[in-house]
Amino acid sequence: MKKTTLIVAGLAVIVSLTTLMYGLDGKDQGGSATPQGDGTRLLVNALRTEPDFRVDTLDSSMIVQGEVIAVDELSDQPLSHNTRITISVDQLIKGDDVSETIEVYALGGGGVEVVGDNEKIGLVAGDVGIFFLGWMPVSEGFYTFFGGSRGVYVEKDAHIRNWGGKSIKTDRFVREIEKVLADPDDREHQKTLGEMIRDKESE
Amino acid sequence: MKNNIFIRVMLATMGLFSLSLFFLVSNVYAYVASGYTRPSGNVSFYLHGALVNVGWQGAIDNARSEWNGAGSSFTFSQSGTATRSPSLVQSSTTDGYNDIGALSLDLSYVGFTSSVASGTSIIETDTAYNLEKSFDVNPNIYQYDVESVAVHELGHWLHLDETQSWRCFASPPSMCGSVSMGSTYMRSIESDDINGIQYIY
Repeated sequence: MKKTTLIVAGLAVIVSLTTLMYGLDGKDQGGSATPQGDGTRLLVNALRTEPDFRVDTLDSSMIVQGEVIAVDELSDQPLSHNTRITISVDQLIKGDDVSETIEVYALGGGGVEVVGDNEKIGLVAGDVGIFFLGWMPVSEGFYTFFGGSRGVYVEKDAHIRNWGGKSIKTDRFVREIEKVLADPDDREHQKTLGEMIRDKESE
Repeated sequence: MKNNIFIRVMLATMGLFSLSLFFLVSNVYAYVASGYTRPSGNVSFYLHGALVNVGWQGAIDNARSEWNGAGSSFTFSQSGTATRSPSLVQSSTTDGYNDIGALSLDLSYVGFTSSVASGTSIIETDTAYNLEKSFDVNPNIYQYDVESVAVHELGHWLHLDETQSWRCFASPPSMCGSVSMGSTYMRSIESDDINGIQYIY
């Protein structure tokens, strides 16, 4: 019985996979997200750095453990980061901001359509987890989720899931972050585009 | 015991078979067309003078040529240089110009493209490179490739979105959603990108 079930299940997986793959093999299947309505809308696409746990840990400005207490859609925020997520901070893992709450702005919302699943944060009030934050140095500056959705690790049953979908105990994940932070950042500094432009202008 | 071995062998065989099938069907079209299009067969842009000054004009030209040679009815051209900031990215406001420039973004961004659509027609697009990252036209392992980023971002101008191709892990299309330092693979558009653009235009 077990063998038969296993074989049938295996064949079903193979058939489904094949159907899915060949199903995608055509122009009509390529399109998605057909817009509705006649209004003007703003669409944003972000090209991100490759996901890398060590690099993300080092390059994020702040890492906090806490709870989402509010999600608000605004309009006309700098760089189309129109969704404000307020987080009650339980533990500061990296950074020096000691506020009890922190406001983080996510791309999209308030009439701005974000293109690409990597940017869709999907947080709601009550979510708890670990949040990697980046500093956006425009206008007065603001915090955003570092790497879009990959900076958001929602906790369930004391576990979080990493990018690969692997479940890790939250306290172990925190220890892994702390381990990276304890190592010196030995990356070789390269001139940023901003520095290159300033150098050229001063020639 | 015998049963266990049989189950393990079956699982391994099925796993290997599925994997082989997955890799064998290499030409899966996974491009994502947003549903928006540009109304005419050409889009012209301005390149920020500061990017010309640091030697990027050639790389941007190559990126433009890459898409122009994709066999679609759409072409890119450059109107000239400018000193404007890319307004759509910076402040979500239109200024009537399509611009490629640079802005300070957080360190997880390499590039950023914003478009305004009226109905399903794109009426303006701007792209910003991140001033806080390191780029070069011949990048080392700590720098991003100027041309690769331009090819990817210009794909967004045509309203190809990030591809869902599994090949983003090997021989990837230019429309994969993230880019690694030192890599130049995005310079060359792949069959997935070409199929996508020929579908839209």
